[in-house]
Amino acid sequence: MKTGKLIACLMVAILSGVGLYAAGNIEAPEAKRVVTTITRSSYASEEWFNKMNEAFTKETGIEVQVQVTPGTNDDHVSKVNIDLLAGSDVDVVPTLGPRDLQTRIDAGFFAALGPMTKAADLDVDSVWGKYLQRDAQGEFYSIPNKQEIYCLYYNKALFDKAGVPYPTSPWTWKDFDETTKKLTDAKQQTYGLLMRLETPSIIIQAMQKKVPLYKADGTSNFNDPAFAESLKWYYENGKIRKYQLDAKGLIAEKASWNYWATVDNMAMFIQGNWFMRLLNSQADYPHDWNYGVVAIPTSGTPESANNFVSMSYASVNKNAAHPKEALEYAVWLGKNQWRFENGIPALVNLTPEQQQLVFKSTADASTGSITVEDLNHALIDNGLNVVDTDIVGPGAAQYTQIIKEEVERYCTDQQDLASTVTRIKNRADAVLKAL
Amino acid sequence: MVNRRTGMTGEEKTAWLLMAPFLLLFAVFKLYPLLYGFSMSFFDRNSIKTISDSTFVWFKNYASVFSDSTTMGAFGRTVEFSLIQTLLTMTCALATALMLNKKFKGRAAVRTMFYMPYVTNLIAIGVVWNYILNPYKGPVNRILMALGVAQEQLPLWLSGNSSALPVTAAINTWVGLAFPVITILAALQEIPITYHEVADLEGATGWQRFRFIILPLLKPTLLFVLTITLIYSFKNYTVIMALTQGGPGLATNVVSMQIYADAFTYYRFGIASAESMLLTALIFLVNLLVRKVKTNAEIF
Repeated sequence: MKTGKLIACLMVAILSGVGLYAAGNIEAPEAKRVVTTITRSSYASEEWFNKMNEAFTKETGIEVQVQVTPGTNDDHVSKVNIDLLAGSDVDVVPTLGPRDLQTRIDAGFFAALGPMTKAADLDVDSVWGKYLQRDAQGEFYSIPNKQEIYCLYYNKALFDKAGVPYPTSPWTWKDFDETTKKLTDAKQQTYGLLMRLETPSIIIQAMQKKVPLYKADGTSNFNDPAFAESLKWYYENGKIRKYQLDAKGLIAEKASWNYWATVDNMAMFIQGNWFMRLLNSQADYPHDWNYGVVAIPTSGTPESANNFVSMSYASVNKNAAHPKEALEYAVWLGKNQWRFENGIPALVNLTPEQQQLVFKSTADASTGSITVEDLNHALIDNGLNVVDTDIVGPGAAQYTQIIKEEVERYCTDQQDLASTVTRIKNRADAVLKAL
Repeated sequence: MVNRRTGMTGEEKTAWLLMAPFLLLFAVFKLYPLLYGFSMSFFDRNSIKTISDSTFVWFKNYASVFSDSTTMGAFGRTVEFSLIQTLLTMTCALATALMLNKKFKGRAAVRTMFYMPYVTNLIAIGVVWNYILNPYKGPVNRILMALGVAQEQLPLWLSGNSSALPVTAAINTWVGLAFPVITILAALQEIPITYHEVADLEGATGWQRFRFIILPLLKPTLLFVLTITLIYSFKNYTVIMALTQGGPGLATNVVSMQIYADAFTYYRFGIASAESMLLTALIFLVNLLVRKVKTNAEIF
């Protein structure tokens, strides 16, 4: 037994010695530069996303390692937040929309980019200028990489079938209601529109008028009559006027983010310009109808002449394992992501030719559905100012969720309108008080 | 032979050695999270900004849970879900086991079929049932329409405010039916044949045979199945997530869904921990109650 132990010890010693000697003689390879990022599974499977990262690697020599989170966008946001709370050292964190960005900045997840860009001698203002989300002290924590501008999509085949002329802007919600009515045919199960059970759709008119969601004293302003009016309009479109599936129908159908691209019996739909990517992909969303785009309606008053715009950002994690590479990647995405995604960049130095180039590739991919002029008119030259798609402010993520939960109860007849407004106000006040 | 140093026999040492992997995993994945959750329920970790806050708030989180009508509603629905599932399971499992205990052609195939949902992925089950019960396009409502049921009278199944919870509980019952059926079936087959022969000689009816022979002899097994079913019925997160995500509105929002929402949507970890502790206490109490009933049943 003793001899056996002796032999084993001897072997371990010899192996360790040889290993150490060998390690000392091996020439260390040049350290590979890497950057890590995290993304939704729906992004990771898209061709443009992978091509974009390949292009970045080719240009900089930095390998992009992508961590993928499965599930819906809401799941992704929660998982990333939990990961960051747990001290993740992922380098670059993408965020969709100002609401989640503010939540993450408030939680202290991100590194301040002012000092980092200064050290790297980057003039951020000449590139992103007004699109940078700066705080009261002028600091910023993200580089914007695209804009999502809302428009109204319509199914040309359903308009043709109903003999209704295609919508043109400027137009009002009253015009919209009349058009929807003409397009709705209950017998044929054709609906004039699809508005999903989520913000901004459920309170679209109030948000478009920029009715504040917070009072001056920091409490919820949801008891402003504009919200009740907006909610009632949404509810009646489904339940009373039957212009769209009612809430129970939307739930039964699991009408998720890509639903409109999968159906052919809903004439109109309001969404960001990113949705064109789905409609232009016959492989993933085969359809035998053409679509059109037009600017969203307004109430016809100057205060309602606003269009919804959201942004996408890349931030550097304060615990990033590779902060230098992280900044390089975030900056590169800010300048180049739109080229690969066929999106609208958030660059102040974009030339009109570059803008036309963006629209041309989208129009070409639509195979005759839309033209560059249509896109320009619907998204840029629409005479509308800008309003956030998100609720932005303290506790915005929770406030949004409360609205969604209570409105779903209202729209499925579990409570009336007055109770809905009261419950949203009370629950939001409790959340805001606890902050 | 007792080891002088450890005071254990070789057999005892082997037993501990064999139990060690389980105990280690139990300590890491069950006991530690339970104790950590218990401690967190007394701290003010209720926003993404104060997640590492160590302010001790005594029972404030528990008070918040009791004063929140949404959470209390979720507890109510949890109990409702549990009662429906338990009732359905006990009835269906007993009836099915009695049926399977009889000799008929294809019995083996039918027995296997009962195991199918038990071993099928719950998400796949959710997708299939959502399709079957779709109130607008689903085959069930299409059949009802073909039978002459008016469109406005068609059930909304998983989309209905009052039907969503019982339908979800019924599907969960169907998923988990195999285990109670097999357990009761095994107990049925343990009943000596002589009892039935005597019953035949005495001219007992089927009901009398069930009431005076089968039921008394099955009592310990039925109480065991009842305990397991009650505990299983509280583990309802996956099936609800797959079928309704807590909706429509809050119609199927049970405590497990509320805990998830409070922790991962609202980042109210203190409150979510308090809810978890209360749910644990509820399950513990129900278990105690069943054990008490079981003890009384054994005495009498």
